[in-house]
Amino acid sequence: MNEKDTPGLSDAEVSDLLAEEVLTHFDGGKVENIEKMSGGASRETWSFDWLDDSGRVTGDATGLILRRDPGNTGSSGEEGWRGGKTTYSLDRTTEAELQRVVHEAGGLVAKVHFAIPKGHALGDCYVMDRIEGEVLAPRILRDEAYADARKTMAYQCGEILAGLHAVDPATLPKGMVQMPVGSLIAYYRELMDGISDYHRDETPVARPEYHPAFELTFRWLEQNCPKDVPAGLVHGDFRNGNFVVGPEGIRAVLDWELGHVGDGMEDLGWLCVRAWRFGQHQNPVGGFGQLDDLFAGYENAGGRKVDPKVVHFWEVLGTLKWGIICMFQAYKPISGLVDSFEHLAIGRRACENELDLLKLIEDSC
Amino acid sequence: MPQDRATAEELLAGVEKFLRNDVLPQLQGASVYKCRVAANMLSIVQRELAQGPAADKAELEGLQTLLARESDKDDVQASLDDLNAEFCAKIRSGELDDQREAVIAHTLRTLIDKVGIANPRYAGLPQQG
Repeated sequence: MNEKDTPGLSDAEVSDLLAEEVLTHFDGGKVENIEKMSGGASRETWSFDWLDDSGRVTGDATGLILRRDPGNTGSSGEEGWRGGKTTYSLDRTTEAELQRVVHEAGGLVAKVHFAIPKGHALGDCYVMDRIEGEVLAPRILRDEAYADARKTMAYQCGEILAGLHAVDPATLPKGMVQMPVGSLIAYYRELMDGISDYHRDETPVARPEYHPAFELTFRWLEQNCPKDVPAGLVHGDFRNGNFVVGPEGIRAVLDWELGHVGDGMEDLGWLCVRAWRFGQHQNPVGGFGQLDDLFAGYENAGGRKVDPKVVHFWEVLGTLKWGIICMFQAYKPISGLVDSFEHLAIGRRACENELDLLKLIEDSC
Repeated sequence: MPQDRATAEELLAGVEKFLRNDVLPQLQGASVYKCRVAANMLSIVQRELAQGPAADKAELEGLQTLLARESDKDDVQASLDDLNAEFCAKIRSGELDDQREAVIAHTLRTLIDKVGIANPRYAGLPQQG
């Protein structure tokens, strides 16, 4: 993917700056094996080792990770949307702070060593422990090595989420936003309308998009909205693909940038959205497990009693959200936000979510 | 004015075959994925050319019945835009709440055609029999 007008640093420059920062932070030692693991348009992950002066690898970790924004306009998330007035994704400094809070509360998350705020040459970034394991969802769902992990992951997800949702809201970073259900619905309504208006008014071919099943879903959401919801920490993107998994189960939860304060059931519902099953539809929980196990894990670890209807509500909202993100992916190259032809094809997948939604909202009538 | 052969469909099919049989085996890394996406895009357009007109006609008829009016626009696309705008606005305002069954049936029929063009192998597509 090529970012337009990116002033960003070269890989060699990032490596040099990173080594410099790490040596300053740890007061000496040696940095080795710097490697760029993934480079999206708006987020990069680098892996490296820090050895102390005697040549030992630091602490209990076998290595470290740098997570950084290259410093151009965000484009993998909705923050790049021109018409967007609200955004709830966190900057790297706040994300690092959130990971720290969760780590201190005993959550399964990599320990953060230090963060470098915006304005520094390296950009908005932080350094954390590298947790070894598999991240690619299709491998976790299919490889024999994870057969035992798959058996326990739904229950384990329940336990992890119960712990996460019990984090004292008073300890959360100040930059975190309250996103109760009404605000989330309004957010996606605005995103969908903004994209559609753009296609109607600002492209050479005036072709708005019409998504009657999304409209029916918005209507259904209004009518089925959970009431009197206790507010707490929500991960916001808790699903297969953001788990580091070993043969024994989940070792860490990644990607905290959509963390917010809201209804914890959002995390349970999102985990069950069809897109995260990667074809394993017999296992509604992330392609690996059953709802009963997820709910039991949640309740046995101290989470509130799960109302399956509320989880279903969030699965519906999650599927809608995914459908609108498909629209947004196509919007990016159409509007010139990124130069990436493969995003165009994703726009044609919005209708799959519409089909799923019709079934989801009909099943609950 | 009709163009000479090859037709648009034949041109697309030719390029798609070239990408899949000749280009793809020579690629490595991220380009493999991109080349597959490119070939899949060409299949979408071929299906759209073949199945789109019938799907548009069925959708237009469904909308006319539901909204009890015909569009005054002169071509099918503009009529569909016109009627779909009204259809979506009426779902949103609740004006079609009492026709829920008919609304769902029309939307489902339209989506089956749409997904049949965009991704006929989608597992969520109801089996037709």
